[in-house]
Amino acid sequence: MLVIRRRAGQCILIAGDIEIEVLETSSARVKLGIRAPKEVEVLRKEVGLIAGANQSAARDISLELLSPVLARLVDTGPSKRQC
Amino acid sequence: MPSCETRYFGSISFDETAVIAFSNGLPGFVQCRRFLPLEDASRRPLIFLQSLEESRLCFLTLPVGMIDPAYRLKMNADDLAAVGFDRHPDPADPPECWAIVAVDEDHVLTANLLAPVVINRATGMAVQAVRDDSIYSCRHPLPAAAEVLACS
Repeated sequence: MLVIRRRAGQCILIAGDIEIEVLETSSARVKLGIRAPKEVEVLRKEVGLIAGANQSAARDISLELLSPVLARLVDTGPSKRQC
Repeated sequence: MPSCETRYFGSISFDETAVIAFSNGLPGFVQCRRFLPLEDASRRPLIFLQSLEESRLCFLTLPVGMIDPAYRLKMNADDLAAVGFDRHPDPADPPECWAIVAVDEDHVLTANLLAPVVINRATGMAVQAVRDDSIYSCRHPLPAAAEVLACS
């Protein structure tokens, strides 16, 4: 991994046309500004992860597979479930 | 009354006030903004989240409290603004909050507790609120199937 030290107000440039500016820093957070061509998708990493999870959730799910799960949730509630 | 094609229930009529809108879509489905929550008495507590733009798209969701009664919602400022909450919801009185169900490669059912769908019924707006911590998993296993085996 490339490591670069920057201060608030300084930028880094990626591939010539993607500019990332450090806007503000505090002890716990960094605020970044990103300038990139429209076709470049910029996502918080966790949002990118969720996109994959949603794609997989959108595929066929057998309602029959779900039935025992639903029955359990309704009958016992998650906190009371036991053998 | 408007009608729509659905993935699981054929063509149905619906009440426009029941529609929930995601102003930025959902991650991976940014073009899908309007969804109709549907319930089926024989499938409770499942909530079918049917896309009105894409009839084949219907997420299966469960209220997070049914999966983990101790679940604590956490939303960032952008997500709060997206649904029109002027402050973080009181943990004692959480808004409607649903986890999207998926099936993993081993046919284990999982629920996305990392990024629940949060609804503000007052505005009709919803957001998939992606947490920035890692307390909950986006593939939280739903225990029933494994337990059925363990109990038999």
